[in-house]
Amino acid sequence: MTFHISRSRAERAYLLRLAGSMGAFILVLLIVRQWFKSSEPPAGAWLYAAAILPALPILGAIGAVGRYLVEETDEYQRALLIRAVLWATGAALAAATVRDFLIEYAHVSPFESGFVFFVFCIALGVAQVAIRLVERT
Amino acid sequence: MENRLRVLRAERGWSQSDLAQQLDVSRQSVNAIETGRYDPSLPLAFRIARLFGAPIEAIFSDSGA
Repeated sequence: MTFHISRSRAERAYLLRLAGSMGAFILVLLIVRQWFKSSEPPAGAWLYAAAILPALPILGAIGAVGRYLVEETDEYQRALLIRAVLWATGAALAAATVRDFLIEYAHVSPFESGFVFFVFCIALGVAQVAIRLVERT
Repeated sequence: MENRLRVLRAERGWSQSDLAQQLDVSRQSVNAIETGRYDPSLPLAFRIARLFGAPIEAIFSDSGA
């Protein structure tokens, strides 16, 4: 049995941008972590700039999702992704809400940076697979 | 909404891929429309109607009517 996955130009560009953003995130995170562990960690305005730096590729990845929704000319494929993004956004919002109350009242230690985005990515992947399976039945 | 897309396509001997290519959409989109899982937007419905040289109401009908 052979599987053929045809991707639109917009989808290929989306996957390329997403891979670039994720690659940049890992690279920036490694550099920033080294900087904070160094003998001269960032201070003053640099502290804030360095702290925000790893978030920028994540914002780029979120932007790539938005750009794909604009560029995709196949309205059915766009509708499927919009449904998956809505599920993922709901999951990320729910996870962030639970996390906030756990920190506030149960005094659990703060979660890893990028926790909400991680939940969003996992939920987006699961939702895309689930929606495709439902659509096939 | 019901449609006669599969019948019209079969009359012309087109595969779903052939039709998808002419409409500039994915084969999955054609399949979803044919099986009634997805109702196309008005612009896509007009494109389908133009391609088959028929009015929209000859291809799509309101199943609730």
